[in-house]
Amino acid sequence: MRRYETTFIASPLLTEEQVDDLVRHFEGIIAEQGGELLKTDKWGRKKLAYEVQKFSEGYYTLFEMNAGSTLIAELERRFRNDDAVIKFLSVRMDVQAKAAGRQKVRYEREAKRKAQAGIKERSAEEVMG
Amino acid sequence: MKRRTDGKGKPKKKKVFGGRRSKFCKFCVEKSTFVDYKDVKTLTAFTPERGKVLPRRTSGVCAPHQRMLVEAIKRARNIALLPFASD
Repeated sequence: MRRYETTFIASPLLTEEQVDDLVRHFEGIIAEQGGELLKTDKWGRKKLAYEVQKFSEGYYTLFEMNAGSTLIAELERRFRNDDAVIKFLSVRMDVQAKAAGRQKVRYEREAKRKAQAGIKERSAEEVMG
Repeated sequence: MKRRTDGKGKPKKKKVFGGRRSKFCKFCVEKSTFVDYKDVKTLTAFTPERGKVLPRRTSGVCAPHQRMLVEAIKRARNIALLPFASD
């Protein structure tokens, strides 16, 4: 199981209820395929930074889940086949967590070096001026 | 770089960037371990009008954080949170 975040944009032609139905539909697919949904975040109707399929608005929805790669492949296939979904993005979060761990190690090493050299840690206000 | 101190022991601010205040990595100060692609407010601060990525020499962001930042900006562009190009 891997940690994923999937965001999709639903067409602005839909009503709020239709979007809710769509979200429930995809939640059903995740459950059916053995995924563990951690969070569903509806951002609502938002303006797009650029036109997608001639639309300049869309309903954003975010799924956070533990899933296998087959589920993501299936979910993306359904997104592609569904006309109501105009754009989607899946991101693996466990890779990010690993990178975050590396960054943490960097901070610890830096703190240790500073402590040894006797340099006092400057507060955020001091640095920002 | 050593900081000179005056009589009272307070560090004297050295003018390094021609009188401008020195640059710093925003993410290092906040001790952030990753940059979120959903955090549009932070990302727009590093993408000036044209929508390009602000270079490190201008923003002062450190190399590891710049790599994370670029990744986040590219993801945000993919999901139409940020523009690829704008005039």
